[in-house]
Amino acid sequence: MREKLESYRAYLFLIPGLFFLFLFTYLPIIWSTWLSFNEWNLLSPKPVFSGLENFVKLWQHDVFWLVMKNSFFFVTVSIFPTMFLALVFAILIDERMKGRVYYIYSLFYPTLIPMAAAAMLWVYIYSPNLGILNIFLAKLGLPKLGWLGSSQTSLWALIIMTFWKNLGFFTLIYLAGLQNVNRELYEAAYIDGAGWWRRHFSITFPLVGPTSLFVLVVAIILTFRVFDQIHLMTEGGPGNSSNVIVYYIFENGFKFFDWGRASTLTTILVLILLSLTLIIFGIFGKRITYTAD
Amino acid sequence: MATVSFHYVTKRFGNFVAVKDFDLGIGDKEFVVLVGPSGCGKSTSLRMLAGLEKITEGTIEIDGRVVNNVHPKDRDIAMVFQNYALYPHMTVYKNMAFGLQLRRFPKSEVDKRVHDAAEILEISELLKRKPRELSGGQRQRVAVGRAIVRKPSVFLFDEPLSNLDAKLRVQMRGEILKLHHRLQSTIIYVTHDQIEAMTMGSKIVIMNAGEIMQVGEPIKVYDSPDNMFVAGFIGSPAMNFLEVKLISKDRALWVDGGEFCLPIPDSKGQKYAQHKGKTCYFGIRPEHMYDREFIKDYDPRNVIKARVDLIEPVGSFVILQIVVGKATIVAQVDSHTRAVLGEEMDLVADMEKMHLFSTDPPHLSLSIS
Amino acid sequence: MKRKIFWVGALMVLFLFSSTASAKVKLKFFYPVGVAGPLVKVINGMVEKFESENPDIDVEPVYAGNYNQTMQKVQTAVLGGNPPDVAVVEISELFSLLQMDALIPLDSYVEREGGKGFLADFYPGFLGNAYGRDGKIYGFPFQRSTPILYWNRDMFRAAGDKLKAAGLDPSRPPDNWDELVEYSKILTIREGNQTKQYGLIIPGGWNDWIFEAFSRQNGSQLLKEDGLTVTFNSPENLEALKLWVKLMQELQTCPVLRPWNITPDDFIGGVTAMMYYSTGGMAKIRKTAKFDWGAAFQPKRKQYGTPVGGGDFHIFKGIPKENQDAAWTFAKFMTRPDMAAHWSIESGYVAVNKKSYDLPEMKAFLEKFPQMTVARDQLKYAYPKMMAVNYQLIRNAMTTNLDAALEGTKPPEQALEDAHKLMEEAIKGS
Repeated sequence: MREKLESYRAYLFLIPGLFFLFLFTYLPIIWSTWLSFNEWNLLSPKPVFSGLENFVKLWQHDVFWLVMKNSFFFVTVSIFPTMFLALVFAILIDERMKGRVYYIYSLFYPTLIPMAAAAMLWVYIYSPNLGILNIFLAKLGLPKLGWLGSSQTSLWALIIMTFWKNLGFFTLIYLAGLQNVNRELYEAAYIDGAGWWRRHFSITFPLVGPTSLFVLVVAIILTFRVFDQIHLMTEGGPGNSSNVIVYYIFENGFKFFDWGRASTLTTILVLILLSLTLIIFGIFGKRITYTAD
Repeated sequence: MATVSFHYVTKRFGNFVAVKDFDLGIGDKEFVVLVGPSGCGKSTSLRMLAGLEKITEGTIEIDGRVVNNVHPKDRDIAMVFQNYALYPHMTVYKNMAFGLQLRRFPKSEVDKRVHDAAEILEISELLKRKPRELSGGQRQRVAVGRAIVRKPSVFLFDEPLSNLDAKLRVQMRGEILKLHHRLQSTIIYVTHDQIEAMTMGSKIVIMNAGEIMQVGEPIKVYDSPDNMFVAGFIGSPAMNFLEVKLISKDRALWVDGGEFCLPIPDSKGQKYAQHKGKTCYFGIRPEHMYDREFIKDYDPRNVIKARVDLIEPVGSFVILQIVVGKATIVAQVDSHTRAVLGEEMDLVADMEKMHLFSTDPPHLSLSIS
Repeated sequence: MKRKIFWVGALMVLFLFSSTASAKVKLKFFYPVGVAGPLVKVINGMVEKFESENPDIDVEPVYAGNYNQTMQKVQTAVLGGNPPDVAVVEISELFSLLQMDALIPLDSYVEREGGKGFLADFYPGFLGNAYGRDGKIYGFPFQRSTPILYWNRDMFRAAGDKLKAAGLDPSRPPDNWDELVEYSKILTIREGNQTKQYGLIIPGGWNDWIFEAFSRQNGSQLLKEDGLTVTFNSPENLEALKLWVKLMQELQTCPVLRPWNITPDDFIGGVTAMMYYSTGGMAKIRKTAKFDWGAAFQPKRKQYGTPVGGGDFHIFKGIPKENQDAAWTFAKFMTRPDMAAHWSIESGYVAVNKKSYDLPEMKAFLEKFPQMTVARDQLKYAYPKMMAVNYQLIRNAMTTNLDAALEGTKPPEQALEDAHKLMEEAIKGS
């Protein structure tokens, strides 16, 4: 009886939180899911039920598939180097390597400045003739690249910039994760003759598993949601070459005022993120060693 | 075959001196225990030997080879850590095999060594488990097992039993001793627990504030501590110290504590004669103070009258706190004592077992100065 | 004690005043900056001047980003039921705003100011985009421009011998498409695999606008004035696109898709000898270019021709009448001769008010910088810019396909055809 009362009380305390979660998260999801079955745009200013038409139209639309391809490319190409280097830098900072302060500043500074400022900075870095990057390439005798102005490189340019921006954040998370690893393990392995790479490959990597799982999920969600830098640097161009799903949603919703299609894309994004998260937890959730024992 | 010697080894962390002029020789197959309060430098000394800390000054030799700049893996040592340092994501088998695999031992050899070690330590049935599925004692065994598969010539133990409960600690103490007997290798063992040191070491090294206070067989250290620190650290309950004056009376030396005055036996008197008239510390262990009612033959001059302040029956004996003048001393008396709280009683001191220490730091024993 | 009472009294008086101050009309003014240059400062200065002349009106200027971003902000605000009082948006957006029923017609205000006589002060080329399909006037010209050809006289001089050898005059810019190709070839300087100097830049980002100019020069257009009939795939347009592809892919005398905002820096930095760009970027070039430069009509094909560009004032529905009146006062202020002249001098945009050019300060300025007259004079050959409902969707269809053709990933024919279809689809039903 007492326990029951306790759990009621727990729910009571949760109500305010759940209320806002419902209001600002679940309700919009439900609402936009409903809208994805409606035609609603500048020429049809009231939502009209249209069944699966939005989905069918998207399915037949080249740009949609290009956007999906770009999104998945962005995520797969950026996540693993980000995670790997974040972990390596976290280890180096944790081990108090020389010049640590310099690394800490150069890693965390990008994380701290606003994305809009970072985007403008990179617009100039990527500037084809006067930008530092191309000047550098030319010094090395390499051909200058079009970066933001070329459909060959625009997505890569955004990936590199996003990598630069996010690395510090994930390094910080890994740095926290490393504090859970017992120092003696490294000493034991050191005495056993394990070198730097081996020590971290055999000990650190497996033992920051819970952190990595968290970072992986967060990185996937964050990367699928990239928007600001695209809005500010390429507007998805040239020729949709750097258009990704959230920017495409924005374009449809706020540029073309096709709310129905924007909602459909939102629903698709939610489904993708949901299933990716479930798959990841399904695969890795049970295999991970939690160090706290 | 392995000897270890430290030659005036000093370790500084910045301005802080952790170990100072540590000079020690360790013979083959010895079981040496470094003991002292926390922060005394015992672990740092061990870690320098292991190669986990750089040596600031001096040299360390293993088997006559200076190892200051030798990588730990090439020092032919194995270390057991305080928190076991088991890899949580590996099975017991893998934990034990890891060091061998790093050294590229053939698979069959690894397998054989792991199983042999597991058998010795009676953990064969645990090989497939992960550390989190083991009890504290089992983890300790695995940690030891990981050291012995390597067959090193020197084993280093860094407070290996401090995370175990009292009963298990006693049991593991015995097992490590048996293991030492069986493996016939040199062991250097660090602990802050003087009972562990006394029971296990063939030689113990008592350290304080980065310096060696005394080296010797446990019983020798117990019987004739070189200084007040060792006297107070070794033995439980700790030795009593009372400020006294050495006086001469009736052709004998006496320790005069004001409230009491006890004669120094002739066998010791000669040694102390030169200190006549000085103030010094009189030391006597609780187990060398008896309840007068339980001994037949005693020198009546050795009786101290005191008021009982606290009675702690332990079972096999009773620990009394008694007040003599301004000082409180501890006595360990027969379990059937009829001492009554708050009342006076007579205690007899075994003056053959007394010690005298200088009042000047480092409070050396007057019998050696 | 007395002193305390004094302060309390003073504070109360202050509150009293501040509450009367809130009775002032407050205007929210959204505006874009569509070219490179520090124009936000200029706008703020003009707003301050307006407020000092009109103490009963407060204007809150909101810099809303580039043209696309400003339109997005306006549309969102309108749909959210919280429209700005007055906004400048890109001229092609008018039909979309009308489709949303967001604007009020300005005819009654114009009538009050003197009707046709009042409008006669403004360049007719800039009024072409101001009318809805119902014939009423909804826009009022403000930051108006045309694309023009900027050229680096020093570079032309440096290549003088080569130009002369090819029968070209180094003291003037190209006058037709053929000359454009020839000049660009000679003015391009390569070193190994690096291009040290481009002959020409036709920037990306707003290349649909410059393409509209090429279309006009070839006697065609992208979309008819009705906003319904798409002519994007005309043979004349195909010829124009092929010319671009030739310049960028075959001859490589023009870089592909140089970002819009950075192109003036390329010109100023000596990366290119010629550049197609809005006249709105001229102030920046005037202030920072360290060489002798000129501005010229865009070269002709069949004729000189260009669309106008830039942004107009619009006044919104769903706000109090006194705000609409105040907004008109504001728009009128911003375009009266002295202010239009000031804006033109500080930005490079054409002064929309003809009378601006009679002012002595403007005359003195033009004396010094005759380049500034080019865009105004080019107005003789200017057409209204294309307008359509769903303009953003249409513009997206045009730019993505132009981009693809220019990068060589789509044949020009197909690019025009694809864009044409998408445009028709977007217009359908409007």
